[in-house]
Amino acid sequence: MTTSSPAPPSDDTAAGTTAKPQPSGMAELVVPAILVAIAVFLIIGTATMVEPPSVQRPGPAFFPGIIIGLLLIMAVLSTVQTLRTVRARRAGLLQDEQEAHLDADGDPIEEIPPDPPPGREPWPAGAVTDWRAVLTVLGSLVAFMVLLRPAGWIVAAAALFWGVAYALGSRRPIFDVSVALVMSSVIQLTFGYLLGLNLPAGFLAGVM
Amino acid sequence: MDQLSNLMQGFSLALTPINLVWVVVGCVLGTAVGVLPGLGSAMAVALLLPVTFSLDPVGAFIMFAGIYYGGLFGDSTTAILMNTPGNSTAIASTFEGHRMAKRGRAPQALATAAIGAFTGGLLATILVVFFAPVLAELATVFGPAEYFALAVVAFVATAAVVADSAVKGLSALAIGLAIALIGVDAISGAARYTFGVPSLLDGIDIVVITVGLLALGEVLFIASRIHKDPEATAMKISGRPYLSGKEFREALPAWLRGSAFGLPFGAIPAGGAEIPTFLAFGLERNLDRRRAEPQFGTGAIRGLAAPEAAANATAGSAMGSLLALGLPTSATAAIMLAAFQQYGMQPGPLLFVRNGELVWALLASLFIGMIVLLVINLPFAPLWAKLLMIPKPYLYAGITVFSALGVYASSGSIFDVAMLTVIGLLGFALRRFGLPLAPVLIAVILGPLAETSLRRALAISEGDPGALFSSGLTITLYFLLLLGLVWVAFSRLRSRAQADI
Repeated sequence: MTTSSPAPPSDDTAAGTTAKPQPSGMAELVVPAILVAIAVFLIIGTATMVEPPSVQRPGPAFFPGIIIGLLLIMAVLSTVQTLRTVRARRAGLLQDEQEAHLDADGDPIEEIPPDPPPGREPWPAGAVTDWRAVLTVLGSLVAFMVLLRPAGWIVAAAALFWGVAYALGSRRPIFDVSVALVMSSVIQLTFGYLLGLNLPAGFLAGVM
Repeated sequence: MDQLSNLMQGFSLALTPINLVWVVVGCVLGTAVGVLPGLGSAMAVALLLPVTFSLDPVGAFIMFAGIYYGGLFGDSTTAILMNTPGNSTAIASTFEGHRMAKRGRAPQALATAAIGAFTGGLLATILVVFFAPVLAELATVFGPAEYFALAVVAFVATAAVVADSAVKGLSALAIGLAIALIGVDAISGAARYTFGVPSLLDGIDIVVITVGLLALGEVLFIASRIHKDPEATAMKISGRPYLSGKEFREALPAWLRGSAFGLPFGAIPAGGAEIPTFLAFGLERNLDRRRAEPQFGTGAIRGLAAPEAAANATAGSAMGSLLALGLPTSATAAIMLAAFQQYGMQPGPLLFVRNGELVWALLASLFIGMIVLLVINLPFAPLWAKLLMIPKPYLYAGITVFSALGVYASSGSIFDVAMLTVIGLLGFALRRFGLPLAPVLIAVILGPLAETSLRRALAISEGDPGALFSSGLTITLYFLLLLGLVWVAFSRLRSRAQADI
């Protein structure tokens, strides 16, 4: 939903650095889409709501009605705002974005452009979101949910830790996995035993 | 003086060894998350909320308060050394603070910030001790219409006044209110928006929402940007690490003026410390222009001292309004309100009566915490900056594991972890498109209060909306809100006009 839109004109094309997460224009329409989706969710839920007999007025559908209205109004307003911003940017009216690399004195901010992780090509300057990293984090969470009950906390949490560290560019598998296992084991010991939180032991159930 | 004897009893409870440990743990954690950009006290309290259930509530709240104050001490460190505010509350400190550092006065800047935070927090806490019980007494006459007015003021103030764009703020507010609707309706008992899923009958757990929005949302956002956003570098620190008497006298009036800005803003629901820090900074700049030798632009000590004092004064009076009225005025206060509810307590007028012991121990621990924070921040600020050397992959992987731990531990359900992922994605989308998070949190936490008090007020008046504006208090609240909106609209128009010139 984001990467396809054209990059705003910027002169800092050096090695894939961009200033801030720049609103790349039409992608902002995701906001009204989310608002409308939530409003539709509430409308369907209100229509199918079973009201208990003889409820006090105003009933359970009263306040949701107000919120549905607010959601839809905001969806319209943010669509209008986005389209106006896109038009203004096309006309070259938004200058201030290029000043993002200067500090309050107007001196350039010393910044080190991050290295892309091994095996990845540099990012296109216009792309805002690194979807591969986001999906890796989400995948790690799914793996955690699948693994937690059968394999136990230590394994599932270590897998989650390593998955997120990998997504964020850590590329030392043996070291990363060791850190992950130490962390999940320490949590199992401190929180599971000392604070009495209920964490599944998994295959270690018999041992511990 | 009732308050003083209560406070002394609070000290006797807060000064037990185990509670002192919680104060120190809270202060250290708070400073750490304050120093790290992107992490804040709200996230830290949210992550700790589920794992502290087995603690005694006094210990848990003492720790949370330490985190809240500590976050405001720590956030200026990176603002000064790296021109990167640790939190939005330190943006105003960045301007002159970083200029001081660039001119070789980094240690003085760090000391000015720490003492400023101490001054602001101390003054605010003293006022809270004396006025919170009085405020709580006043609030005992609040009816549903008054509570609804308070909630509306909190909603509109955080959404429209604090956010850069009213549309974005109100959108975030509407999303939060919608999330809060899910579950069994408190008045009629009707199941709402559960779509037959039994796990949703109790609503989405507040732990899932706060951890998802603040922690997992941040992780996803960082993941989406990690290889693209450049990293700032910290400056080297050298020279004498203390303030000279002249510098101290120079900063003192700014500390006091800054505190005066922060105090009222913490008590009203204007969503945190951003506005008072900027107001305090603006006043110092205007005063500076009238001096014989203007200092601003060259690292003026007053331009740093005032916003730092303002930020921590806000935190102090925010605690007062949370305890006395049950009204959260910042994201962290909102999560602390949720924490009170988890322990079966309702902040507000009755808290001082029902849980007086806890309240006074908490207030006493705020004083202890302030001294602890001054000690761990004044000489050691450069050490805290070293936290930035933690590799980001491990930092955020650890946050993710802690999020999963908290959510699973509080409910034991995989479904909640799945909900966490969904809310995390929502938090990511909000960050990606620049929607503020505080209105979502305040809406989720105050939404049910707003709804029940609105419906009760209307039920009592048999549907006459005039009942919402019938008491002097409600009219005053709405009038103040209107005044705030007009002021914001006016100042935005003015700054737009200036930008055009």
